[in-house]
Amino acid sequence: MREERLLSVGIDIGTSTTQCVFSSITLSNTASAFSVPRIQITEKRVLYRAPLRLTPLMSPDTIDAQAVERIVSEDYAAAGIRPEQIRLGAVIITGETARKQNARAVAQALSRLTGDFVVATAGPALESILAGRGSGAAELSRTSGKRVMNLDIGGGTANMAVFERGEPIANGCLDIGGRLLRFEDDDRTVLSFSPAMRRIARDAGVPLAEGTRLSGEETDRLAVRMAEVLEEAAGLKPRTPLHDALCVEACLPDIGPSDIYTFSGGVSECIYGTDADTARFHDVGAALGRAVASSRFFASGRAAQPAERSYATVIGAGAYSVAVSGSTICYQELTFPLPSLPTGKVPFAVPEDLPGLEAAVREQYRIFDGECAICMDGVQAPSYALVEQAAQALARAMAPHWPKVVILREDMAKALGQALRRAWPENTPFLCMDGISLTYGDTVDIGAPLSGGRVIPVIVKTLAFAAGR
Amino acid sequence: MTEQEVREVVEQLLKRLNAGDLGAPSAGTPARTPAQPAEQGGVIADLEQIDLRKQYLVENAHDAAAFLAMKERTPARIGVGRAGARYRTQTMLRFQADHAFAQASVFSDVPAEVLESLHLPVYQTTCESREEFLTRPDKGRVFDAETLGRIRAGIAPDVRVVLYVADGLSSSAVTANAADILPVIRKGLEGAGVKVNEPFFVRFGRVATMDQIGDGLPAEVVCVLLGERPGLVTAESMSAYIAYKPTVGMAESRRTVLANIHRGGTPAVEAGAHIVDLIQLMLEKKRSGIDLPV
Repeated sequence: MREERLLSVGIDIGTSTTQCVFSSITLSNTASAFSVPRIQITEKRVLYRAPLRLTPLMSPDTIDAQAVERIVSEDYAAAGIRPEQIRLGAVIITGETARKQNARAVAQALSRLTGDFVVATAGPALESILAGRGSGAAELSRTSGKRVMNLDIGGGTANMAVFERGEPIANGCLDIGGRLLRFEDDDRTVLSFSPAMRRIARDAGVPLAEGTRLSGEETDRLAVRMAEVLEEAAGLKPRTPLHDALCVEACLPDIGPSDIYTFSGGVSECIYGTDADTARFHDVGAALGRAVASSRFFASGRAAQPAERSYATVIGAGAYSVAVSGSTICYQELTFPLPSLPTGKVPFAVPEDLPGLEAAVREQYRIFDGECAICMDGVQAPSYALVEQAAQALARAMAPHWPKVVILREDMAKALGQALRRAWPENTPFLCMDGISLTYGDTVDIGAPLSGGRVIPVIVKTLAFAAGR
Repeated sequence: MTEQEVREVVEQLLKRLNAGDLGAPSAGTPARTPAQPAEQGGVIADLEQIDLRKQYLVENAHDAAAFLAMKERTPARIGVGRAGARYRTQTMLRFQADHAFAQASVFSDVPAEVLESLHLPVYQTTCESREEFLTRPDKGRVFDAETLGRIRAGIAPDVRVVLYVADGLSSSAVTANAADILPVIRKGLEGAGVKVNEPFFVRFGRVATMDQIGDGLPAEVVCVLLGERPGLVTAESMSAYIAYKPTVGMAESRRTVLANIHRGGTPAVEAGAHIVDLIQLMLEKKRSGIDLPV
């Protein structure tokens, strides 16, 4: 095998819009002919973007799962892709958490279309990182050598991720979005607003009540205050109590300003003026876009336009959410996929960690009620004796649990796996893979093996470092 | 010169340079970058202990962190700075040390203690000396009839895979990797029900020794682990050459090669585990080299 092309789907069911994007992901063996194979993702290309549609809702907090299924079926038909061609992908339900209450129903309704390798919901941290990767901000940080912050401003939330050298160093989420305040068709009369918007209005000194009319100046004052909170998060202005009050789950760590700021998400089209028809949403989004465009982000000369805007999160989900394991791995008798496994990280990076390994593994199973993947850094170029002893310790501690999954960063999974195979009764199902770096608290979706069974696709759902590493 | 002797010479040289302050940067240059080896309290870091991928010697760098991120991906000696038009002293010394280590690996024997600790019986090709081994490749491929008879007598008739080690062009590769890779391959194959011989060691041995050893034996696969010609990146790199039913005079394309086995390449234990799978595939497909679909 020289090259293998896989079709991937990304579906983002957001607060205001639903998007579907098909990408092709190319896997190639990048090692020389006389080396151990090294299968890597060598190309990601967007093949088809379905048009944006409003997310169908049964009530403000409940997604109409059947209607979403219909929309996505149409997208498949329009793209000329059959569900069985899809090998990878992710469905994420983004935005306000309340929307996620019927996530399971939505995932179920979509399962026929998305196959068995999907993510149902993602936390704000993963959304922020996917948007930053999908927009091109991560790549920009790699090629420019600068610190790049992407702000993905959608209907319900602003998801922020800061990248250096292509990798996320911090992320956070704010209750700021275009749809927090909705108007009647006249764009003046208040139709509805969120609790977060009430806070912002109180802070800006704008009285807000359903059915009342706002002047253009009042709407702008609200939008400017929202833009200021974004500046505060981005390190361009000292933080105020309003900033802290609007943080979702965790604030972006205060790491100072970035070199470059990029904006994605629906509101970004209003910021860059790239969508002529912003009025159709009848919400505060257009005003927020204008406010950001004349904020410190642009006055400081640090704002740049990313490659992808509205589609950033969904492209991130479809093309950038998946990583592949190292190419020397070991598994048997398992049924894939293994969805949503929490990861229990145990210290095992130097030979001296060995004596505590067994107890540490038992402790992780205790913490996660007996079901988790055991993760560790692993030892660089370990000795045979160390591999054998580690396998013995793991075999004892993992024996009563299912599924048996070991994930390492250092290249030692095949040797360790073969030792584990010998240590357990014949045909014991297990997976031992490397090349995946995890942080405590990450959740992983493990897909069916690719490339002739040599690599395993993994989606790492990052929950960690929202509060800074 | 052995590795130890090389180190001692280099350390002495460094000490002399320091004492005379010859190595000090000229006035006006800033303090050294923290990544470089400390020469604290007159103690000189062991050059071998410095990971070149983590060392960046350019002064007043615009973005040292970015350069170091690049260096993670290559063992090349980049980002070494300069002294006028030349290398800096420590770059020069490291280059010479690595070169000396490479040469020493070619010209030295695998220590007898190493072979004893691995319980490897030693057989010798028709070469009489290392000089002859290096100048007469033909002699390094064959055994005399008596030696070949002893080797074959040590391989039981129900052995399916013959596994052995040869010095090849780097004794250091054997010393560094054999103890970790041999048991992984043996245990892995035996765990899968494949019988392996008691491994042995061939002195002054080249790849094609496997042809004479395997030709006519009932065993199906022969695997030799031997030292690669050393380079400046590492002198400890080992290769595995594996063939299904090798015969004297067979095409080179029938050998499957796994190279770059060392701590900075594919670690010995992982390479061993990969070899287990490769050999099982060969036993199943009854072929090797470019005919083997991988």
